[in-house]
Amino acid sequence: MNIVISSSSIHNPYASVLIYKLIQYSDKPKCIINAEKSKIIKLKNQLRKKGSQTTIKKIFQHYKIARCANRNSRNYLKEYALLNSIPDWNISLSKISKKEEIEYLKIDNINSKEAVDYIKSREVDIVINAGGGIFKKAFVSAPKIGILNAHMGFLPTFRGMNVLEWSLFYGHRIGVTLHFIDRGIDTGDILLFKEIPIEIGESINTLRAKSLVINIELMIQGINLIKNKNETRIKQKIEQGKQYFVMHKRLKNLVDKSL
Amino acid sequence: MKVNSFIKIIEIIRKIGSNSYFLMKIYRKPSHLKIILSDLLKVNNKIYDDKDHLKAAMEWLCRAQDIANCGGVSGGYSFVKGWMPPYPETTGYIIPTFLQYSLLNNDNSYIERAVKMGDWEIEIQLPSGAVRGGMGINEYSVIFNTGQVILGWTSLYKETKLNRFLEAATKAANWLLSVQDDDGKWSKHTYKEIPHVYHTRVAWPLLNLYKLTNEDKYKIAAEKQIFWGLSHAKENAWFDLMGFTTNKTPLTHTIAYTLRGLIESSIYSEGKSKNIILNLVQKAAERIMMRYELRKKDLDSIPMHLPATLNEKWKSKDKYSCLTGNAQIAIIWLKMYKISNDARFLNAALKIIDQVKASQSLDSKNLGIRGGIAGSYPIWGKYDRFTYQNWSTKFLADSIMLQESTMREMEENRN
Repeated sequence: MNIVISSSSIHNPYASVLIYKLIQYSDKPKCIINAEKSKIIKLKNQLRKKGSQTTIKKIFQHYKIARCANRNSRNYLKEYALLNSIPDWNISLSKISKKEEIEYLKIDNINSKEAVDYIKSREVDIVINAGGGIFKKAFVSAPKIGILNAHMGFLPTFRGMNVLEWSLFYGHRIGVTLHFIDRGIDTGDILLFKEIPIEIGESINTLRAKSLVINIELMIQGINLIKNKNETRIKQKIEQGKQYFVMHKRLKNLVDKSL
Repeated sequence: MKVNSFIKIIEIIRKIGSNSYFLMKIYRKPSHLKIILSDLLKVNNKIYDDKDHLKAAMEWLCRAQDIANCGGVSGGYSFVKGWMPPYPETTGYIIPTFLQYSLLNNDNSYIERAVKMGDWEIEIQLPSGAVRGGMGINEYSVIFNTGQVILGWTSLYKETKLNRFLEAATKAANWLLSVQDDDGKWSKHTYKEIPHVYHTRVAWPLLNLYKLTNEDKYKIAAEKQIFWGLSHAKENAWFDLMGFTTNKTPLTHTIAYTLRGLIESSIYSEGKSKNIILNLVQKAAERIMMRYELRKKDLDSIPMHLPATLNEKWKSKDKYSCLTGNAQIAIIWLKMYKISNDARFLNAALKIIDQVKASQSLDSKNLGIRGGIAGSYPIWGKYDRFTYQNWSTKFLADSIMLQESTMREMEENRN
């Protein structure tokens, strides 16, 4: 099966671990597509999203001038990688591509003609979304089977952004839904769902970190099902859910307090 | 992009004052220039605690009242005209804001100020009972303005039990009933001499008066107006005639007037009609929320400002925002959260209130700017260009007070 990983950053530990897990299951990806924006655009976006103060703080943290706020958070992804004999979990995707002889495509935009043509010409079966942005119609219809996405919430109830936080806000069970991407926002066919257990002393950050590991496990499970033609696609009933948006920090604080 | 914006500002300034007199007025103060430059460079003010923003807004309103020196509140501060004359309509609906703030801070001076406003409104009430239109003392009467002052008088009566306020409200309401069309609309004594669906906000004060007097005629008149308004609703919860004029897309300011009138009036409705009203408002509020939340360059960034006007498809091409409307829409969302328990409304309200707060200068040396809220963002936007309004400042104060009580209530319920 021809698998492609899409990422929006050259440094993506989640994608790195996923690639090595796929290799372990003899499903080595054919290509890594990195749709990373230029540093200037990234800086501009960061300034717009977080403001100048947070951006400066982040730059300081990046260059280890300032302490990282989450440095004490448990790194579930690292633990999982080491437990699964993946020592290179934190190296760049370009290095992984060289080391593992996987094709590497660096593009500015995941929806570019170059990316679409690549998927079609290499007869790619599945694209695994490990970050890449919003997929447009041409890209969505390019792979033979489809694009797989691990969504950090229960579908169809919670679509959109910060769904882990929204699920917690409403006291709903939390988990990851593996689904195909279609033209809507998280409206594609559902393959699998796995709940995330909440332990005492958890925070939004630790639950997010935990969910990355579950994303990988579900992705591997889903690929196996598809490979063996055992998958069951569940059509979503859109009216059973709502689209959510970025949660305001005051509500996030409330959610964190309630954990 | 910045160069284009700069050229645009120069063009606008040229348009509004083709002579150097107006240009001089706008630029004569460094405080004016500072606002223009920060809006041009999109530099927002720091967001402080809600109490600080609320206090600054209330102090600005007190200043606007003191400057008018009659009890009424100056309409606002303009870069061109300076402080403006007192505004009967908005002074009327500023009264409940002062009463609520007084209760929140246990400060009676705000009740005294509200009483002065109410007395000034009585002093200038037209012999017919109507309220004067426009800013200053004009001889013409306006339906909408009359309704807004009734809101003030009825809230003052509830607070003080002083009969003069109830009498003034009754006289004004009787005038409203005397000029109402048979189908419930008002087509005379209206802004631009056309009927408006935002007169639902006139039905609301009539219902308040009905509650105080038990006189059915006020309830009947209000219900007629609401039904007339509902007859203009489309499938997508859009209402025709929501704007100041029929040839321009309505501002979020008048859209919010319409929706607020419907929400408050629904309190007096029951059964099917209550459901119809609230379903329509919820649908409209959701459309506006989606328009706002999806207006961003990246999925995980905060939304850009809500456009100033919306068309019948709830869409817009505007590149400026109506800050007055934004604060009012925040109130609609907060109220819809309480009604529907859909926290996306609360979430959107928190974000949009932050944006309005970020436009409020808490340290300007210019007392016309400090604590006030402009009509438009950027300041040269088409709605009340280069002007800090008493009503946008009032709506920010209202939205913060409602936001805080909503958050407090929610926190208590979650604990």
